[in-house]
Amino acid sequence: MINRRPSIIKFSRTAHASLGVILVVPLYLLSISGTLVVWFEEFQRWEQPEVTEFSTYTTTQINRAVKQILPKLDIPPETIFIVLPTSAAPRLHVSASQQEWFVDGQGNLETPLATPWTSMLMEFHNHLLLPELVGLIITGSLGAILCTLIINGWLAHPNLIKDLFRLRWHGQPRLRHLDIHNRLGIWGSPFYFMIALTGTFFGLLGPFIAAGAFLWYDNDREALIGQIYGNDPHVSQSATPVNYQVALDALALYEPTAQPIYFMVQRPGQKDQFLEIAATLPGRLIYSEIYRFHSDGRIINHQGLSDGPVGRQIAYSIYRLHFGHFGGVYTKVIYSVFGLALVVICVSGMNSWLLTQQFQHLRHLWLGLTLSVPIGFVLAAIASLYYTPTTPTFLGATTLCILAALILKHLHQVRTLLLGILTVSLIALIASYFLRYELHNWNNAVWSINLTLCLIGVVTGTACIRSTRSQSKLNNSQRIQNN
Amino acid sequence: MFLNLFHGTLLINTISMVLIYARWSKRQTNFFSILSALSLLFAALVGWCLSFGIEVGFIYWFMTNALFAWLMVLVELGLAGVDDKPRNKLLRKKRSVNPQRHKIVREYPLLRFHLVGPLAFIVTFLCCLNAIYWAPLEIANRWVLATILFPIVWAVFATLAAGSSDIFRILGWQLFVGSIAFLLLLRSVLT
Repeated sequence: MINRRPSIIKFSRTAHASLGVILVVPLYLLSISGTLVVWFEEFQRWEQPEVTEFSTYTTTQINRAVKQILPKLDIPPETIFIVLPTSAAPRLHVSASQQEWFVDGQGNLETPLATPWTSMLMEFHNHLLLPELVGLIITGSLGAILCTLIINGWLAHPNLIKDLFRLRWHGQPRLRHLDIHNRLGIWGSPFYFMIALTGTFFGLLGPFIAAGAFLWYDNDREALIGQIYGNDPHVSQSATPVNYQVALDALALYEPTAQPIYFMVQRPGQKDQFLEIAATLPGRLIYSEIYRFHSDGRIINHQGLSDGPVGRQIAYSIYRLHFGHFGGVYTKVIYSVFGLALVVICVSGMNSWLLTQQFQHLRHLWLGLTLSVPIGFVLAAIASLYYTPTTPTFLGATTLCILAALILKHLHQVRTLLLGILTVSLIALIASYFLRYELHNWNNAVWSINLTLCLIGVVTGTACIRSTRSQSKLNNSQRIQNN
Repeated sequence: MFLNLFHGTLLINTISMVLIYARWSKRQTNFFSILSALSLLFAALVGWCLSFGIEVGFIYWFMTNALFAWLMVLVELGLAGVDDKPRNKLLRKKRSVNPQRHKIVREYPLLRFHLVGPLAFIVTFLCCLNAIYWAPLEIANRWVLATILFPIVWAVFATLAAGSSDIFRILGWQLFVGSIAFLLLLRSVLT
């Protein structure tokens, strides 16, 4: 690690530069959307602040909600999900056959889930708004490419230990960008490596299962998934309705530390109906252990996600590890900081490369892209407040901003214009939200998000003013020189 | 418990990073002095993590040491002001104006793209399917091993394809490995 041959360094540097330059755009898009997706529960609360919130629930509420959801469905559902309130999302909601309602304190269905902006954000991060399968393969592959960039980035650095704290902030712009890229990249690399590995897992497990089922299981994917994650129990005779209270009491005896997060009623109303309770276990990273019960509340078994084969435990830990959904709000903040750092790595890496090149249009395009994506997200959020489709708004706004960046003559004009648009959009978003929802509906997630938006608005506004001033100074000095 | 773990890990990281930084800032950048500080960091953390469950502890370690390293960078900027010794100026100047610097990448761009992307993907996919079938592990472990192996194997292929000057040799290697993986997979289906 310490004394690498110059040929290896040169080789790795070439590989790192070529891969990075080619794939920087999708990596930037994934990083910026991933930074936001960490807070998707809070964004859902922000989009629907009028929903009743509470931290405890009763089985009477659940029974009533399940009774009310069944007549709303056209066909009998395969599964009914009852998602329990948590500290991050203190709301009870039921879903079946891709329809979802929030439940009020009495157990009545309140309002359907309608979070178009958050859904768009998650689709953007999961499959880049492409068809799901193709998009997942692409994002999974980008995870693998990120691993490649991390590995050859490490190998490309000639003085890894010596330069651990090196940052030439006031040096030449290219060296500044390069140092920011290198330092953030090296110190954050264990985290980015974990994010890349887990992202690859999400994206490519599907194709692996499809290929494996085709080759060795007569195309029976269920059989294969059952072998990896554990099979469903066989229940022949079942009483209806489901007794949730007895099941909860049985769970408290079976695993006293388990904290239920959602219920699943499998094949409701049929002979082989059974109840599953997903519950988190303290100190474990697995998404949940799943406990199975007869409809009368007697325990059948648990799926073995917490104590089964190591591979199963790892597979079920990937979600929390990738999205930072463990350890509370601190972890989310740290994940956001690192997500933002990955965005900066993409931008600074590309900037340092562009500063060695002569392509002016490419610089405009890159600056336009980096600033147009946040503008697109903000304008899509405004659109969602007024029931306008979010995805076309996002794509339209982004395209227009990029075109504007290409049309303008000077780079600082692009910067000033786009920062100005971003600031105005942020102000418009906060004003629209204020007009749309009354203050008494604002929960702590709404306050936090709106205050953060204000803060970002101040930062971008200041940057815009500074850019304008430096531009006018430059113009003045040019005028003096000409005279 | 999460909070205790969080604060504990923060504390250990802070001490370790300050130690590394203190030695570094005195320019005692010999290998053993840094290694000793790093060893302390690793040993303390591994011990700490194991007592709480390795899966939870390590993720905190991943995150927090980097944050503190950045805090140290900011400290350095604040205390020492600007940068330091410009090293090897001539070499850097030579590099920045050298038009041949990215010559390798410009040779056979289409073939190189296929070697880094689609072909490397297919060969890696075949290798990992073989790992799923042939690895002497329990079935759930094999699948997870394959999905974790996938990006690492691809990283090797992609780095070789993107950085190598002899691209046809890399093409040959990829075809050879791909063929072997395909034949082994065929055998697994036929048996």
